[in-house]
Amino acid sequence: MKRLVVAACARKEMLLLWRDPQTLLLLFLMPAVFILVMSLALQDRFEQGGGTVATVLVVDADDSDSAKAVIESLRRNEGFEVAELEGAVDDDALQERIRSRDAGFGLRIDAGFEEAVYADGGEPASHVHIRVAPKIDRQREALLVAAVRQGLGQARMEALSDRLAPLVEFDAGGIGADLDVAYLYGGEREGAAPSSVQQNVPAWLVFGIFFVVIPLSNTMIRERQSGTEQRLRTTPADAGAILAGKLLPYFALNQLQAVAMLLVGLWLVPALGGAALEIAGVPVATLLLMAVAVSVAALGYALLVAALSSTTEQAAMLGGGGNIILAAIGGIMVPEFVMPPALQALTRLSPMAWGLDGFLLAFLERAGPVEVLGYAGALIAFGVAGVALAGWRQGRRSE
Amino acid sequence: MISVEGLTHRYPGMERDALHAVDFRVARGSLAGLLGPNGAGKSTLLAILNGVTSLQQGRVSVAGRTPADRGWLKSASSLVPQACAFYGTLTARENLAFFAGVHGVRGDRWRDGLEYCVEVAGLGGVLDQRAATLSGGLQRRLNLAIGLINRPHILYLDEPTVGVDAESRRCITGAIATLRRDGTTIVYTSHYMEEVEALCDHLTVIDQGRTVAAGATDDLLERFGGTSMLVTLRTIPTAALDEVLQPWSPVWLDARRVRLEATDTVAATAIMRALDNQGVAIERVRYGVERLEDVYLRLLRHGETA
Repeated sequence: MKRLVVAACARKEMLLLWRDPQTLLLLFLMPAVFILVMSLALQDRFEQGGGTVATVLVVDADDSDSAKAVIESLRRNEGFEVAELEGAVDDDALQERIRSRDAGFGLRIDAGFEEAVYADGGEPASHVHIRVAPKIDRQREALLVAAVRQGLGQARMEALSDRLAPLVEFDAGGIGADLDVAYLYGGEREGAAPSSVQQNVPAWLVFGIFFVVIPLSNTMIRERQSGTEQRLRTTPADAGAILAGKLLPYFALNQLQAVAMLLVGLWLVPALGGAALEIAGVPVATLLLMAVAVSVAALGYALLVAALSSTTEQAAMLGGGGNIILAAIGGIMVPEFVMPPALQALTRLSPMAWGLDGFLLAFLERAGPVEVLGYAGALIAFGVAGVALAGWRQGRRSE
Repeated sequence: MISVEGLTHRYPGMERDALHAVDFRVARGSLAGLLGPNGAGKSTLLAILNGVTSLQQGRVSVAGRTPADRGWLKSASSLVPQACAFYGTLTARENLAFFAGVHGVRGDRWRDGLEYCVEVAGLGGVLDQRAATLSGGLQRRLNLAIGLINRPHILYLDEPTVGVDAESRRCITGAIATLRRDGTTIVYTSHYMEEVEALCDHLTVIDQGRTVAAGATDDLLERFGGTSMLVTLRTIPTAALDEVLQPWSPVWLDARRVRLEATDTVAATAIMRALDNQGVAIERVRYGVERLEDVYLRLLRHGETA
């Protein structure tokens, strides 16, 4: 009997959803659009924090060992990608190339650079010219200037070393050796703050899943208003079975949303010029656990909204508005790592932040299910609490 | 079949009882009318009988079972609510299938139940239309059909004909008559007094949670009857008869039954003479029978008790 009731309710709910294409479209299109727009729009901002590169177009008119040493020094810097331009390129042509190739910088080393490096009282810096694209911020510019200065210093050091070699035995090697750098976000593994797509895919995936609150609560309120809920209570069907049948299609819908948003990150974002979501090595079990946990939290929240609202308008305000607040404080709209400490502490209050953190652990650290259990458990507890409160409120209403 | 004695119920936080010492009886296979203004306590009584609301005080027995046997009560009965309680974006068939599912009806029982519902409620031809696109009358009929999908022994009808056209009203009252013939015990609430008078063989009137009057319909009409004369004709008369009867304010209850005002025996004699002059064959004449609507309003106004 219970299975029959669950099946009947699930089928009914699927038909209701299927015949509401606008809502279905919203549940898939809204997070997908957010992922696309935010991933692409914030790509550069995330690159600054995420260790990705800015292109430097280099014109080496000196074609000397010293100039090559400067360029090589820049090439070793992971913050920049060096692209050398062939032939005679004047300043105007270099600026044009920066614009046409969407590069960040131009670096021109004039003829006579090496001569100035070795000359007593020479000024090699006057032979080096840096051009900066408008999109580049001051910090990134300062990084490039520092990197070029390092190259210049190294060239002068080598020149000095050449002069002193007959007098002193000194190995000046090791200047360019890597320093020990550890990232707080990534521990000892991949080691990086999230890229734009790594942040935005799970963030808007969680946001999209939570948006089932609107169709689910609206369906329940319409049942109450039409008398269907009362009619169902006069049937011998178990209330738990009716609820299970109602929630199952939404749970399945949430899982489809999760898969669809991952696919958007994997294929659609890169197809439009963004970086692809990297999922190689991410444990599927972790993603599954987090998707299930976020769905449970969202469904519990939806039931609570339905129980607290008397009209569909109220539910839209409470559910939709509540989602936006949870997203705002939960690091969905603005990444947590760019927030000031006080706001970062506030994110802990939002279940969306728990979902996002669990997913980020999976994407950035390849965390296994056990490592995200804390986040998943908190989300499931939130969902169960929502169901319990909704049941209590509904009971009071029925008395 | 249904026996209620001294039923009292109060909702939490309310100052007065929703039902107070209500008595209510319905014989097996009969059609009982439950009358009362909005807020009188009818819905509370139906909810307790249906096992939805818990019994607080009093004795309730439905086919020998107590309200504690909720599972049986809910399986054996069905409530057709006043509102069209179904899903507008589902077809009539999908709605029936869903409610069959929650009643645990499947297989041959489902197929037989569907056939029965469609026939009784006259839904043939619209089964695959979305419920929201059906006319108001057809929606009422679907509302009734859903209540029949589990083939209940007891049917609670809460104003099933409110806001429907004449054709659907006739279809629904015809369906109710069919159900009664099939042995279904029916409790019927309505504000259409002619309908109740024509259909119900037993009436209970409640107001402000108390029983105001109860008894067989004819008894009640006679007990509280005044100066009305109810004439049942053997054949359907011509329109001219209505003209002839105008001095006595005729009210046609149906094609062959007319209620006339006869303030004294002189008027009663004049009526009989007028009918005789028209050559009308009379099947039955009853004097001192009040219209149910008048009885009902008088009961509510004066709080008279049976």
